[in-house]
Amino acid sequence: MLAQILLLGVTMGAAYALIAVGYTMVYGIIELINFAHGEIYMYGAFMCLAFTIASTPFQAAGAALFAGALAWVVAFDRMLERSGSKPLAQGCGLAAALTLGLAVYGGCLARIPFPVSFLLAVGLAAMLGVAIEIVAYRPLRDSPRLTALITAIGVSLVLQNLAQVIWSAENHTFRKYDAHPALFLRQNMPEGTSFWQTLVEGHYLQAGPLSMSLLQAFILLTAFALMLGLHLLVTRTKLGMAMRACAQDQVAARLMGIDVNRVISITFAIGSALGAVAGILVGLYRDEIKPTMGYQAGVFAFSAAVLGGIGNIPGAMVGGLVLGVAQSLAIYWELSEWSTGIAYLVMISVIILRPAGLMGAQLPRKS
Amino acid sequence: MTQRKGKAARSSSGAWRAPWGWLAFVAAAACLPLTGNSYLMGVGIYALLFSILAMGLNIMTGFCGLLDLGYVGFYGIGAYAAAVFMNTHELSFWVALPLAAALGALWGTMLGAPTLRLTGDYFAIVTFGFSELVILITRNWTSVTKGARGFPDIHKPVLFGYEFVRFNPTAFYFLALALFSLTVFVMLRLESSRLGRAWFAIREDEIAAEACGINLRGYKTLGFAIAAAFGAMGGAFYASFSGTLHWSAFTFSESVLILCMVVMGGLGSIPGVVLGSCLLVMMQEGLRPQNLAAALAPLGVPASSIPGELRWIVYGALLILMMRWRPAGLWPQKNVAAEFAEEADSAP
Repeated sequence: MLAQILLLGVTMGAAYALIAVGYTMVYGIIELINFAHGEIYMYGAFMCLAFTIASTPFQAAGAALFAGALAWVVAFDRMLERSGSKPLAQGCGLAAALTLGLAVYGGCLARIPFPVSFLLAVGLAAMLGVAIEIVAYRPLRDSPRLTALITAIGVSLVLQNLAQVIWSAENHTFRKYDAHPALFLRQNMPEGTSFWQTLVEGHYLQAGPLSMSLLQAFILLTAFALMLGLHLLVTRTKLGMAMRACAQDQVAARLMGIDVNRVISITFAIGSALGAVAGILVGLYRDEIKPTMGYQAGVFAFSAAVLGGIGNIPGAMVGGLVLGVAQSLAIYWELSEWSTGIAYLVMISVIILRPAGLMGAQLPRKS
Repeated sequence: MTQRKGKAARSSSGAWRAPWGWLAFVAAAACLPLTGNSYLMGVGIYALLFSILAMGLNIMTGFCGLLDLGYVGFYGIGAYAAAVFMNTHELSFWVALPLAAALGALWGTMLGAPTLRLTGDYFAIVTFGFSELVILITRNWTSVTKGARGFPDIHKPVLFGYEFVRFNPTAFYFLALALFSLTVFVMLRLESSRLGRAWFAIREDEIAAEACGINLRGYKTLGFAIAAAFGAMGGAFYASFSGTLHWSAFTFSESVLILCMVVMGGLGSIPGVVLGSCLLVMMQEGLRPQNLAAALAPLGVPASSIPGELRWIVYGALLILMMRWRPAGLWPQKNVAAEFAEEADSAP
């Protein structure tokens, strides 16, 4: 029983770690607590859901308008940076917005196989992260920190409530999804079993006293593969080096010929994509997707990031796992109504007693 | 009261701080019950209550420049403390109110002393976590707070044998106005005091302030305790006015709402903060789905197409737009406005 509950904790912890990485990367590079990160997680889950099950025309139109706006922002910014011509950038933005808007509209009305919608949703969420940075955070990069933090709260409010307008406040679930099952983990199941049954209720992997559903295995594998990939990206590639350089000193990085804006955009894109993956996986695992899911998950993941030492990527991964296990232990000891409090307690005590986190080096205080 | 206020204003500088402005405001506000409209008075009570809270938060975020994301935690502590004092311990409202405020100050000191040495972001997060813990405790400490179902039938204030009633809110309105005047008076005094100047120095440059001999931790903790006391006082009033307490009145979104009032009116500016609170409370009323539906019905907009979440989208957008184009607020305090202008000039 204990082992089983610990497994649950590790599964949720892996998801927290994926989200926490997004907080910590952004904090590392622009020293901003990105309050909107939880909303990106929620948006990823909703877009994946919208693509896999058939949406109402209102939901499809809302999602399409929103995606179109994102496409406009990102395309406009990239084109303006590259060509310097405003009309060209506007044309490009308009074209991108129309294309993506129509594609999302069609995609929401149709039913798309789960793996494809998964990738599309992750891509859209990455775009959302980049667009938020361009619209809300970039103009404030030289303002007092308080200004950017308040803006981040505003972005989070707007996104969460926009999702409520488009999708309503009720719980949504992937359970309705029965189409296109053949593409996903269906090989050994009898004819007529739904995708849902296959993934969640179907196969269990037995290892001694432990039994693990396919979905749990999938979450753990995906999360660990992505975190390994991220670690390699940051430590072994030129892009990772540029990211670390920007985190250390943006002026020096610029002098070395690094396009700082581009690196920041990529950081937001990667962090948001990982958050969206976590959102979809948790949405499947918990079997509920709702506009407020990003708030709670965001708080837990932020605590995990603080626990590991904010700005420290391996620290965020460890912090996520520790927090997940701690919460599952609270359930084991029948303190489940207090389990959310563990995140806050961990957060407060780590900040007071060891602000650099479990794995963080003592950072110099920046003014 | 009038005379004291005049004195407060004479010792400070700046035309807008003249006592006549505040006296005129209070006098005008005192005329509202003449309309006899209890809906208007209800809105007025909320505007005054949120002004008190926003002025309290303004000490931290406006005067000291520290973002407090859990201010509502003190509001909640004050509300539940007053409820427990009045119902469980049978104390009168007039005793429970200062006790609740003192308890708020105590909690402010206990939370502030270890955390105020942290840099801004960490402080914001600790306060946020604190307010979430307050909610969790009010939900689960059933023996004292009556748990998640809420605290019912909180006693009303009794003054010279007259018991206040919710449905004829005139008495509550004047109580709110009195507490509001007290808060404004204290804030004006604080702003032009040695304490206030120390806070402004901390806001503008911590290192320079420390070099000038300002005890950072002491002054910040004092500020936090005073802010918390006003939050708790507002909570005690709210407990008695609403008659029931439920944890959902003390969520993070309320903290954001109060922050929004401070930011919109102008960080550090007392009249600005009051303006921001009044505007946002009015907007909250205007953006209620049923009021919006009534206003838009002549244009042929069906009520069903008006989303209930609109007001939060507006608040969020307000925060973003204000921070981008008018970070010093609608009625800025001179120093804050100068600071933001300086930042903008020095930006490349």
